[in-house]
Amino acid sequence: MDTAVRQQMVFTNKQEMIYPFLKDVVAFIKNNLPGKGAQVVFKSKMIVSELLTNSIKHANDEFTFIELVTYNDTFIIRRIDNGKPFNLKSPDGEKDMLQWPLIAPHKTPIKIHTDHLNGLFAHIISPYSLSFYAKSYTNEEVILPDISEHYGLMIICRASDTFIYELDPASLKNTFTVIINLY
Amino acid sequence: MILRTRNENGILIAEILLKEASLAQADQLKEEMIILIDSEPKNLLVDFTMVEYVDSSFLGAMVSSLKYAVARHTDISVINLEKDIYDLFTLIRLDKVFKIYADKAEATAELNKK
Repeated sequence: MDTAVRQQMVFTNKQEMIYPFLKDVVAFIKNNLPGKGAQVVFKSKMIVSELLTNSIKHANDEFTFIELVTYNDTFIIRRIDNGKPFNLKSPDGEKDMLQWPLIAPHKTPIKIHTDHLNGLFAHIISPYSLSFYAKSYTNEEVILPDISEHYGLMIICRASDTFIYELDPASLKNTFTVIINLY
Repeated sequence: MILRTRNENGILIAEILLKEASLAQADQLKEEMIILIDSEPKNLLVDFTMVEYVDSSFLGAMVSSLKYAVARHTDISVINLEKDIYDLFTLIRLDKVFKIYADKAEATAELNKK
């Protein structure tokens, strides 16, 4: 039987608390995933760092909740908050691109950003949830003016195996679930 | 000030004086980098020796600074990346955007070849 180990942590949405928070996350991993290696620690630090930075930028509340869950073959990091529902800005930064509930005509992925190196996309998996994924592009030449300056979601995508956002329409609770496979 | 600069044999070196380089300092990094780039150095080495933590906002500010620099014919390279920070650069493929050298000696040797 696969027994889960859970830890719930509270982050106070202050920049100076990110670094100490990451130390607690690393301690949890070392205690509960012994021998899983430096890669899991590195990926987890990158993921949690960006989830918390995003909280500071967008949270309405004083607190954000982080849940860490270990199973035999997966490590799950969850961020839960009551901030504004996730959205994407139009290129001019003026408009929100997503309307909740989401409709997925033709099952087309949402293009969040692409440049000569990386592409960031989202699949609509239900009217209230998105799954993010990244692609790499190989180009002879990097067109510098084209290169993104926004890496938060990209870092989480690349450091994880699954990255999902869910909006609870009743409570307006936002949940980001990030999964690292351990096999 | 978050950058301490010195000129060595025609190469401008800017040492980041932060242990945690994050969202809070991203705008200040851009401002200080603009001032340095406006002095028209051919090469600018950004030294990450003191930096133990960097986030996406600070990296975005580095990319913004690089765009400003290249448009003005200044090349930016980074040196002395701690392992996690080096791994972060490669995770999001910024190793294709920035030249990364292990240290000042390697950077100087490469830049002097040109």
